Amino acid sequence: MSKSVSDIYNDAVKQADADQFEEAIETLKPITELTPLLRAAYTQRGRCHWEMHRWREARESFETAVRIEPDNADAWWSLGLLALQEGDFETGWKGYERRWDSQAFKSPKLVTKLPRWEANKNYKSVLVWPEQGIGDQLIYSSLLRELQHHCEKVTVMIDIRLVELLKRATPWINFVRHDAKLRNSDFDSQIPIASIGSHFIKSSKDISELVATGYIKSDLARVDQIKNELDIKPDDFVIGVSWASTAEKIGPHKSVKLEELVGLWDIPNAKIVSLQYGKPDYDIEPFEAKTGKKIYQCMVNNFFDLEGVAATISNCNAVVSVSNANVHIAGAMRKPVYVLDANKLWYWNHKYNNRSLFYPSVKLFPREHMLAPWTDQIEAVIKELRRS
Amino acid sequence: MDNEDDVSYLDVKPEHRMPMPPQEKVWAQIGDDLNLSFIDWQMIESMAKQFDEAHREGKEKTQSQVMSKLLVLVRDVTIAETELRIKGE
Repeated sequence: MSKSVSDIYNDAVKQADADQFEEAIETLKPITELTPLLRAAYTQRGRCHWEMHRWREARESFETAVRIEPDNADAWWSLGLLALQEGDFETGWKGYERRWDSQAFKSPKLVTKLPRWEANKNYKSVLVWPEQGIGDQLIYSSLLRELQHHCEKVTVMIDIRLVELLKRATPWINFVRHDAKLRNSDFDSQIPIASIGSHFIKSSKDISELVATGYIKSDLARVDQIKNELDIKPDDFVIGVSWASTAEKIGPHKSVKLEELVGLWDIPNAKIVSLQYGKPDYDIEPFEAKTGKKIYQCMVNNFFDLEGVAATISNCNAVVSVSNANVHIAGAMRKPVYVLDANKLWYWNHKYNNRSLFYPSVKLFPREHMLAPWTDQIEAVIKELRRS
Repeated sequence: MDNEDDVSYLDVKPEHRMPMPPQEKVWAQIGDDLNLSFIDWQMIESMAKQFDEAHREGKEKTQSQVMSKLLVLVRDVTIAETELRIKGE
């Protein structure tokens, strides 16, 4: 029969008391080898508390994980994300930077000989490079104008789907597609886009003071084309909706069922337009058959064609969405957005009167915790839309 | 741009590479080998549905709607005929 941990420990104490130090070390081995597992257990416990929105308990778990294994990137990264959420930016950015050492972080890295950009080094030409999804690239793009105040020339590699949208609004910044190969001689430094904030955001107040708004712009010809295609009349109150996130692992928690949004159709003159990407027909067809309500869709592939998505959003009076790329596109365009927020992303926790500090036109309706129903939040959104 | 030390680029692993459709708004594309290299059925089905709605409402249809409807009909007939042939064999 195998011994319990406390039995092993007691054996080792007896050996140590008898000056059998080498033996005691050997006896303790099965326990000390548990360190990584123990750290992982605390990290996991922290994540569970996070899902239940118990921030203090989550933080205690992550801090314990960091103490157990101070070199472990996952523990630091988790602590960093929570600290950013809580507004402890010093710990937050430090931990967040460790994402690059984590096995769980899948974003491609820049192959480069260029040094990392730093605010006080008087660099003249910086190459910003993309990481994570469309939403992350967009929200951190809000700091590019601030970055330019500290560096003469800013070149931004960005997801190919965003290049023209960003260029149109900020032509003085050089945007290039993410798969470009760029000559090092054109730059003296580089920085991943999500690390820019670590140089400028030291408090929540910095967010509202430093982020840009209206930094993507749709193509007016596409806006007109989609207006015709959707046959939008002057009296229509056009609401763009998306109900699902396809983000790996966290997507299902962020999503709602289309049927839960059925109250939107009762808003006077509402014309509901789908902004959903992925396979929206799998949801739309049964929904329409069951409820007899209509969801308008236009000739835009909402995943690949973000120019089309932005042009569709331009035609909307408001957007109702779970936390996904559409929120960022609409928010960066200063369009009124009502977000059903699962509170899984640190930046949504920085708000004033439920308005995002990153996107002032975005109003957040946070869910109580990850297992709670969305009913109250959806009702509140509909109530607000009726008033608008 | 030949020396790898002189350039910066993203280290995108094949598993992270995202399939991208052509830059222009194209529903379908014929490749160099003269086979179909890209087709966006989501877009085509959506237009075919608009054809159905326009038809029900007695509205005029656009060329895109007509072509999309035709593509969907041909596809469905081909599937049905193929299934019959397989059953027959």
